[in-house]
Amino acid sequence: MNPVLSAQGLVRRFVTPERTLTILDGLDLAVQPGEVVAIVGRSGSGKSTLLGLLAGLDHPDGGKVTLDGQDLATLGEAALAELRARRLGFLFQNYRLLSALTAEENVRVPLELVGRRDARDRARHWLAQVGLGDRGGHRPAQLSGGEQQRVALARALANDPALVIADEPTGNLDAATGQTVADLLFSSIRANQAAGIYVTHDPLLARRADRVLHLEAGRLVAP
Amino acid sequence: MILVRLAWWLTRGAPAAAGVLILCLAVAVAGRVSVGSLGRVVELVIAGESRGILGGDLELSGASALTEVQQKAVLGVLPSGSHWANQRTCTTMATTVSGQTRAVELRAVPPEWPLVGRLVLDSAADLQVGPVCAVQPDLLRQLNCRVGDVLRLGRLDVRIAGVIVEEPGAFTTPFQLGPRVLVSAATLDATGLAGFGARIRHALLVTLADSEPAAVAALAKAVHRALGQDPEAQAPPGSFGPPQQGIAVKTAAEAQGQMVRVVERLGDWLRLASLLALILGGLGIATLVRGMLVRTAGDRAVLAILGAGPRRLAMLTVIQVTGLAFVGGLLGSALGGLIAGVIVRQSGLPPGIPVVDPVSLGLGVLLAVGAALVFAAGPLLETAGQRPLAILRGDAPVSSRRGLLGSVAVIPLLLGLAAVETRSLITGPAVIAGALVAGGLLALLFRVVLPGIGRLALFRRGPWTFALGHGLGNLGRPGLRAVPAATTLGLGAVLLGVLLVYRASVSGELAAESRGTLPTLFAIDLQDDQVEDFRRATPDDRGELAPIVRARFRGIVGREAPVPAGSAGDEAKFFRAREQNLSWRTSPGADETLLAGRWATGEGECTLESGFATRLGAGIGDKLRFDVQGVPLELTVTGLRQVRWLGFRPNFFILTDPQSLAGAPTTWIAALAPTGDRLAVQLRLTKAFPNLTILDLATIARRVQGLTDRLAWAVAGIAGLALVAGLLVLGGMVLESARRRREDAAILACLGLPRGPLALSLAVEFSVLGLVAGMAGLVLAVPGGLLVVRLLLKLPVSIPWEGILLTLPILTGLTALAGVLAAGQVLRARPLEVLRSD
Ligand SMILES: Nc1ncnc2c1ncn2[C@@H]1O[C@H](COP(=O)(O)OP(=O)(O)OP(=O)(O)O)[C@@H](O)[C@H]1O
Ligand SMILES: [Mg+2]
Repeated sequence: MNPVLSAQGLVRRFVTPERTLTILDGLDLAVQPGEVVAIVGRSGSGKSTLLGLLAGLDHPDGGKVTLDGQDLATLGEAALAELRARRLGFLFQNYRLLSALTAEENVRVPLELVGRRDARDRARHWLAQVGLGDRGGHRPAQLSGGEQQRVALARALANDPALVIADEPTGNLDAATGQTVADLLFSSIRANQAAGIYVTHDPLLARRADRVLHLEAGRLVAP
Repeated sequence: MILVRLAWWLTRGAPAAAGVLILCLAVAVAGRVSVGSLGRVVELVIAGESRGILGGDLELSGASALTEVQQKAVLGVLPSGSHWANQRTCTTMATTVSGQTRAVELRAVPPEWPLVGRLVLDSAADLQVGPVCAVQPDLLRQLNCRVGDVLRLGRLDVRIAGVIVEEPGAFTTPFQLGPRVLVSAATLDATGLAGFGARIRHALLVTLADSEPAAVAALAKAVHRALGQDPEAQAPPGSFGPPQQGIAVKTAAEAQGQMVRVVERLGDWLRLASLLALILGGLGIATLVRGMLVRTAGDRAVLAILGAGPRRLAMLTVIQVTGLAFVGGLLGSALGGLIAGVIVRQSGLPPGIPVVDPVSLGLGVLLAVGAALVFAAGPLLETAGQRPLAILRGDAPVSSRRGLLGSVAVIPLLLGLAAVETRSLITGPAVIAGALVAGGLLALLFRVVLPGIGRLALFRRGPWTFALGHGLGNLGRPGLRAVPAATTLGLGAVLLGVLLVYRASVSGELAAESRGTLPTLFAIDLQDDQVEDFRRATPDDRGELAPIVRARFRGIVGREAPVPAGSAGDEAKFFRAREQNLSWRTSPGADETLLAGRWATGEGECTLESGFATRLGAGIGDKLRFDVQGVPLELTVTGLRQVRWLGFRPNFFILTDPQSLAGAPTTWIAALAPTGDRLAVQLRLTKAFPNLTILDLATIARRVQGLTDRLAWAVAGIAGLALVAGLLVLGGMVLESARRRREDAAILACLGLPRGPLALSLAVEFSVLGLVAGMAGLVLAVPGGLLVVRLLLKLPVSIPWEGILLTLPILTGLTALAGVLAAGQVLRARPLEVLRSD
């Protein structure tokens, strides 16, 4: 089976006035359809940097990323955006809801970006799925952190993505709330037969993945 | 569609910023729209008034009646819906029963007369019934008779049935030789005065369904052609001389040509001023769009991550801006119409003239959208190409070089627009360039001064002094955008100050009549030997006498003097007819200023009116050749004059030295500004100088006064708009920094700063900002106004010092108010909420 996502020999350096930081240094990775991968590593080891490259939000200094069989380096900005809209779901540590929009509108955004006619119904469906069916009209500021992350989860899953990318999805939540969000995340990924890749500092959360990888010295290693 | 929806959602999320942007645009547009509407209204009014003065849209006149063929030809070119009336005028003697005699101007009118306006008599007499007449009041006094008395006109006894109070077309001939006597056509025929060989001026008055001045002018040409005449071969209207051969065709606009021209020029300036207001609004737009982009940067990064491509994100902003601009444009057009309406009402113009129409509404919207997009280009380019991850990390670079490029690209657009608006390649662009230079100077100044003020806060003991220092310190903190805010406010102050100078100078020019110095009585055909007696007879009437010598222009020595292409109106006619009135003066008259060279004093010298000289292609040093009743005359141009034609005093294109015309046949024209009873003066003069023609121009003078008031109002309106635009920009900038201010305030509150001192710090910050910006702007405005009025308007400058000084505290107060209002949310916000939500 072809992997949903693969990275080969990824290199990412940051040039600062003092010195050049090589954060990723020949990193390889392959995620199979339906597989959920957890990435752990010290703070500053480059986990977020990696996720940015995988999503085509950043360009590597070496190596290549293939998503759905397409080499990201061959795609322009617009095509990359289109690919993200159709195939990827995102979850951030700090939710990143659009503050001016209601919960339902936030979920509708990715649906409308790909021009779905049933955007409203699907948004409601997904809000109900994450247990916020009655909060669709609320603004992010009127929701708790856990609720906001559930809205973000509904938004990430709204387009039935092939791959869900999450950067410390429970990092800002207390243990119990984090547990709820994680449960929802896993059950939804599995229910959609999507693949998932997430970064976490929480060993318990890491253990729920099919595979756990350590980011160390710019490469991924099995523990 | 998604973009429109998203644009709406995002805009809805920041209603205050959206509101200020809309207001900014509305204000910017309102100025232009109101000036446009006002210009049209004034044009309409003038057109209407001049119709009344002429008694129709068009007047065909000549020494003999139109032949049947001619009449047919003329009626053939009149559009449907036209009306016409024949009117005959002659000079004759009126004799009372007691034998007293007086020259009168007898005018015969048909029943359909007047075509415009109304004939108002003091009684309900009907001129068309029986041998009756209506007379001007002077005649009753001169002949010592009453209504009901009988006058002998020719061989007919005619009863005086009423006194003329108001008569359309009263001023068409400057050669009225006596008081008017109105009769019916049948009565005139019965007097026998209209027989063969009589000197009768026949006039055909025409009114059109469409009295648009351009349409009337075109028709005048068509009439000329229909009569087989060259439309250009006419003596300049308003030239004092005997009627010429052929059939003269005169339009209503020509009857008041000078006033129309003055209004047009002032209109150009108002449009320019409103363009400056638009630029101020544009600065506000740029700031607000920038603020919007900064505020929504995170959101747009999230959208990018969710799959919105760069083009879509740019489109999103464009849609947001366009949408807001659309609303702003509509609002501005309505506001502009309202302002024009108020001005119209205030100045006593006839109500019922539409001030908002679809065209100006559409123009307003177009202007708003155009301005918004143009001014948003800079900030859009500045943030284009920011990478979403970088934005979320908070270290997205702002490409100020590209932003600057985008802003610089606006400049040629502005210059072009200014050229169009002022119908001049020089004036408009020059003023815009001046504004840009002023803006640059102010920005440089504030860059140095504001941080310096920020460091002034010396002692910080206790919350109040701390707050004072904090407020002053904010002026130097780059994130709070004090320099651009002060620059915009300063520019607003410059514009305000320049407009004040402009207004003072222009109304100083135009207000002469309100002090009663504008002549209202004209005496024509004064003979050489009567001049001294006339002077003695009018010691208190501020009389001004000017000699007139008719001469024929023969060309410029050493040069063919072809008719310059594109010359129009008076001058073109002059070039064809070459008939001109020469005069002399020992020093400049009240309505003229010497622009270049020197006054003509030595024999064989002359000065020219500057516009006339331009058309003639003559400059200082050129020799002009004339023919004065067969005697050749050569005059060297020694100077150029600016003439204020609205002054209503006798003025001339060509003024010679006092000696050159000695001995030439001369008549004199006198302009009087009587302090007392005009009628009494008129009566006294007609008694003493029976041959004299006296014209009463008081009505026209009143109209000029009304016009002055209107324009003064318009200028005040624009100045007000400039002020509002500046304040809105300030508000926008404060809103842009609102989040930062809120955070600062929350942290200060947590550190123990009470709310009172916090409010003080805001008040201090903004009042000092207003004071500094206002001071710098007003200081710049004085030379700016001087340049505009002197160099571009070529008027004497008067600087309204009190007004300018008074502006400063007002500006400061308003700035403080606007700033504190805009930043008010900082005071209302609860610190904990602020810190939690960000
Ligand atoms: N744009 C950038 N410029 C310079 N350095 C960068 C940039 N982006 C990331 N870095 C550096 O790369 C390293 C990795 O950053 P990254 O955010 O990927 O770490 P991380 O593993 O996600 O850490 P954490 O667990 O704390 O989130 C850090 O040292 C960071 O300073
Ligand atoms: Mg990270």
